[in-house]
Amino acid sequence: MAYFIFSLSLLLIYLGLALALHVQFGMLGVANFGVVGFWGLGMYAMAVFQVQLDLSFVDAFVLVTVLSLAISWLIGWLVLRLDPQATLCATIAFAAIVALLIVTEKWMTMGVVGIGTIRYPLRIGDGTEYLYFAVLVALVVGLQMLVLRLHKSPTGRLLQAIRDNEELCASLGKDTIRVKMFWFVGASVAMCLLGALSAPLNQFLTPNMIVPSVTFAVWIALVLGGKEHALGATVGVFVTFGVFDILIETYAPVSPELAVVVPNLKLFLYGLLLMAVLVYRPTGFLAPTTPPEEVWSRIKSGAITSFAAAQSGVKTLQATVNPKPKSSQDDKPDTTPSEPGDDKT
Amino acid sequence: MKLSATGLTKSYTGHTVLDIANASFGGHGVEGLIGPNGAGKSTLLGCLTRRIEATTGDVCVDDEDVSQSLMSMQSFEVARLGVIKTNQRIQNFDSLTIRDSLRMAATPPERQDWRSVWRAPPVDEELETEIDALLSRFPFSDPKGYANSGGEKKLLDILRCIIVKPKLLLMDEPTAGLPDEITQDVMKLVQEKVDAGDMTVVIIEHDLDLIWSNCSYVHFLSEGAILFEGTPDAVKKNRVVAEKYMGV
Ligand SMILES: Nc1ncnc2c1ncn2[C@@H]1O[C@H](COP(=O)(O)OP(=O)(O)OP(=O)(O)O)[C@@H](O)[C@H]1O
Ligand SMILES: [Mg+2]
Repeated sequence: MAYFIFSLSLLLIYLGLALALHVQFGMLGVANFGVVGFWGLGMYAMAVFQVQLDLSFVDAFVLVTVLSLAISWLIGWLVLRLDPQATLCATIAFAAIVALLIVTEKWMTMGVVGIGTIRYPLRIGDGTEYLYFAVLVALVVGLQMLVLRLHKSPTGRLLQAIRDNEELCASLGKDTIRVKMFWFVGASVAMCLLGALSAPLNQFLTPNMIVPSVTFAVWIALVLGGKEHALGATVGVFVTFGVFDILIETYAPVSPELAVVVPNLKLFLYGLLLMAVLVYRPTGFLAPTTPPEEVWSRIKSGAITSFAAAQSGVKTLQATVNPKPKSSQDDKPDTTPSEPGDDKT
Repeated sequence: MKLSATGLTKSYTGHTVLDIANASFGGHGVEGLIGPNGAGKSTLLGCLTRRIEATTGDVCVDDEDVSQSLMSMQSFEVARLGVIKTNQRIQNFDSLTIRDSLRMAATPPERQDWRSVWRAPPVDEELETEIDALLSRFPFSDPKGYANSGGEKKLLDILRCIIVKPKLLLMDEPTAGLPDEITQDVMKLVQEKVDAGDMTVVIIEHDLDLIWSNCSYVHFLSEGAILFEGTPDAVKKNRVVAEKYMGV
């Protein structure tokens, strides 16, 4: 059960990251490929402040906020005037720098040895994890509501206009750079703070957590769900992280020899699913123009597709690892982790 | 509102495409700016609105006895002073509906910042009425949806500029891509606003009939320089203009 709560908490963190990326890329058109940089910065800063400086959670959190504001502002100032490709490269470079510094600055981060233990705030004994989970739920629901309101507000229209045609927008008297700065920095700080909140979840941090696959997972979720739709980030995270990690890893019986390859398989299947969706539905499961009454059926079909992809991936893998000696190409080896009735999907 | 350019030049890789010694725009109601293809007309309007960085020279804006240079401003600041330009090539916000596009353009910055996310401002009745009036005057195939054809996008571009209430409206080939009767309706609307004293206008056009029938003053630009300017009659009679442009 503890592992399940941990997985769900991580899902919420990814959901927050995807919502922040939706504001940056889906609404504003700024391709931030350094998601893991902001998240990792917040997470490690939290650990360093708490472990090395012995600060309380609240003090450390305030310091992380100030630090991430300064760094996000600097990154925004550097990248927002660039053309889109350059922005993409610059943000990748930022994430790489963060990852590198975490390894090299041993006096601060303990390098590859790792840093910990970061304890939960609001400790109430056995229920601590659940309380923390509830706080995360409240936060992410708040973020989702902000995004929903943003879509209906005059500001949201302005952000979309900047994404569509920044120069035209400026020629109508809109201070596009300032608007971009505000929302880019805001969303980046949100990513850093989600990192800070991830620190107690992980308890012990090592540099191999700060890897590009975090960025990819968030991007894939957003693009799959529908980058321009207010609910796209949420749907995307549920059909990728939710279905793959929680349903498959937690509930589908995966044999021990497979457990080690599951993370790689996961990224591989995410990628495959992404390609399929981009080919058949380029806007993602939720297009910006999807009418509200169709949203639910799109979500269901998204979840089914994703589950089927995950299931067939695990099956294929299982068949490769444990080929049945008697029948060479059987679709249903008896070790298959399957749920009743899902063969028809 | 009047813009004065002095010693304004623009060069691309050493090749000068614009060289205005001294000229002012926006002092005569509706003005025309004519000249052959590649004369530098669009470049001139680009420099006046700061969308194109001039190589040398100065542009000053005169409005009610206040005069200031535009050269240290960004294009959005020039627009906020009331100098707005329509586009020769189609420009659009593809993910905004026609109404949202007009709303977005007309909403002032203080009602468009982050605070508008939480406290949704009351519906701006005045603006909605204005949009209704524009849309009933200029029929779109799907007035609740998006601008579909190139012509509709061009028209929307012009309406977007008009709804932000410019003091000086610069129009770069408004007729290109628009049906005749729409062009006439646009010119009628523009003329009404000019007569009401709301704005002055500079129009680039190759359709000379439109220039002769709407403008009270015409600039003739050729190879980057203003070779002649005056009333339509004077321009029609001018030998240089006839040779370089109309004599073909
Ligand atoms: N970005 C650029 N780089 C190089 N040359 C340019 C650039 N933009 C414009 N020019 C050149 O500057 C000259 C003036 O162009 P401009 O677009 O101002 O002409 P125009 O008078 O508006 O013509 P038209 O009537 O065809 O619209 C042209 O010779 C054009 O080739
Ligand atoms: Mg032109």
